[in-house]
Amino acid sequence: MGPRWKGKEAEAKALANPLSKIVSELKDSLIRSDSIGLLSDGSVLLEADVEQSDLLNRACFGRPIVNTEKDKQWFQLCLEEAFYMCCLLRCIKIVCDGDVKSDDELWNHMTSKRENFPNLMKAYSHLRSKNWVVRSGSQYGVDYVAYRHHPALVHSDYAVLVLSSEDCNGDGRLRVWSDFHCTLRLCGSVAKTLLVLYVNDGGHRAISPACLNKIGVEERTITRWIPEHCRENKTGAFCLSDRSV
Amino acid sequence: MEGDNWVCSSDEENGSEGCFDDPNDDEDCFVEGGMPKLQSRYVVSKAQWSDELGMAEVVEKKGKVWMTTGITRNGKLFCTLEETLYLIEIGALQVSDGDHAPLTRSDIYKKASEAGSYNFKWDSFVVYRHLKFLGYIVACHGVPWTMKTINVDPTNMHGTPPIENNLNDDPGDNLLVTKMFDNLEIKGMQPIFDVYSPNSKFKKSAPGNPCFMLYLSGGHPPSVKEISNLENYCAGTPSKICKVEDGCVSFFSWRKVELPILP
Repeated sequence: MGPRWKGKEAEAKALANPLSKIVSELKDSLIRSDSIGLLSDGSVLLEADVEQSDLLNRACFGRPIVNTEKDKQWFQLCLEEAFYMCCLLRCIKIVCDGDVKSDDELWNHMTSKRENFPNLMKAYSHLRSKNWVVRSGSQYGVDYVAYRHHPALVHSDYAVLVLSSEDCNGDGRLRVWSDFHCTLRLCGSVAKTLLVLYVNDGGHRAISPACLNKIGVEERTITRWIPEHCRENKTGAFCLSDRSV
Repeated sequence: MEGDNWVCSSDEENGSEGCFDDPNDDEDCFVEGGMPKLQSRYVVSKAQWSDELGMAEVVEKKGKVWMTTGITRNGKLFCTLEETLYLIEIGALQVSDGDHAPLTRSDIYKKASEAGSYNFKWDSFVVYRHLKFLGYIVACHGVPWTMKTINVDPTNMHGTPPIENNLNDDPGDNLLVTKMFDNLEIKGMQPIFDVYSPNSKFKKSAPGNPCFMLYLSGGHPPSVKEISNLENYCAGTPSKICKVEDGCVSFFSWRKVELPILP
C-alpha cells in the first residue's frame, strides 16, 4: 500500500519541506533559547515562542495547550517526545522541582511511569531517527502510528506495535490468534499496515539510556493474505490484497 | 435526516484518517434453503485404498485433476489422504478397499479420524480444500510429485537403487513412501504445503518454485524467532502461516521490512 497523500499538493509540499530540515531548525532554535521543559508527572511542559511553536507544530512534537496569549505558546510533550528531545536531540533540558534532571534521572522517572518505557523509547527513536513522524496510536489500539510526513499532508502508513523479541507470549500484545484478528481487522478498516517493531532487548529491559544504542530493532509487517484476491498473482509476494485487509 | 448521526465515527471526530471498507469482512453468510452443493461430475476416476500406505493407488485415471494431484512412484499414481478426501468430496473419485469393495465417503472420513499414523491432520485438510477450491495447486511439502526429477543423477546409478524400484518389489519397502512423510515430523516449524498459483500449464514433472510455503499453526501464534527459523528453512521462498479456527482458514504473512530513511 503506497502513501495516501491528502490532496494533490500535499506530496509536493512534503517534498519541498523535508522533515529532517524542520527538526534540525527546531533543534537549533531550542538550543539558542536554552529551552527548558517542566517535568510534570507523565508529561513535560515546554514554553515556545512564535517561531518555535510553528516548528514544533510542523515537526509534530507535542500538543499545543490552548491559551489566549499571542507571543508565547505552551506545548505538552509525552514522555518519549521529551526524552527524545532532551537526551537524543539534546535541544532541551528538563527540570523538576528546580533541578535539571540528568539522563539517568529522567530514565528512572520515565520507567517508573511506564514499565515498558525502554522498548517504547527505542521504537520511538528508531522511527524518529529515520524522519518518520510518530504519534500516539491509542486511537487505533496500538502503540504508535507512523506518518511519512506531517499528518496534515498524509495519512499514516503504519499502525505500530512494539514487542520484545524475547518475550513473545508474556505480557506483550499479539499473544493469541484473536489478538491478530482484532488488530488486523482494525488496521484494515483504517487502511494502515500493521508494523511490529521487535525490540531485541535480550530478555530484560534496558536499565539506562546508554543501553538504547545497543538494542536492535527488527521491523516486520504482519498482513492477512486473502487467497480469493491473489489467484492471478504468480509470485504471491506482492499482490494488492496482501496487506492488512 | 436523523439517521445521518449514525455515520459519525471516531475517525471523523479526529479529522484525519480515511476509512476503507473491507469487502471480505462479512458475517458468515448463512444461506436459506439448505447447503450449497457442487455440480456432480461425469468424469470419475477410480482408486484403491491401501491402509498400509495410507494412500490410494489410482487405477483408473480420468479428467484433468491429475495434472495437479497425486504423486507418481514406479509408474504408479498415488493419492494422499488429503487428495483422496478432496477428490471424493468433489465427486471426482471412487475408492475401493483392497478387496475391491467400494468405500463410501464415511469410510474415508473414518479413516481420516483414525489416521494419526498417516501424518494426517483434519485442519491441514481444511487448508488443502480451501486452497484447492480456489484453484491453487497444493503439494505436500517435501514430497515430490514424481521421483523422475530426483533420480536423474548418473552418479547414483551404482549407488543405492532409486526408491521407485523398491516400491512393491519387496513388501517391507512398501513403507518407504510413508516414511518420507514421517521424516517431515522434525521438531520446529516446517511448512505443510508448497502452494503454487492457479496455472493451467502446470507440470508435476517440472513444478518450478512454489509461490509460497505454508505453515499450519497449532496453538499459539509464532514468536519472531520461530518466524525467523521458518524463513531460514524456506530459504528464500516466501512463507505464510495459517490458522484454522472453527473450520475457517486465515492466512498471515510476516514480512521483514526496512522502513526507508525519509528526507
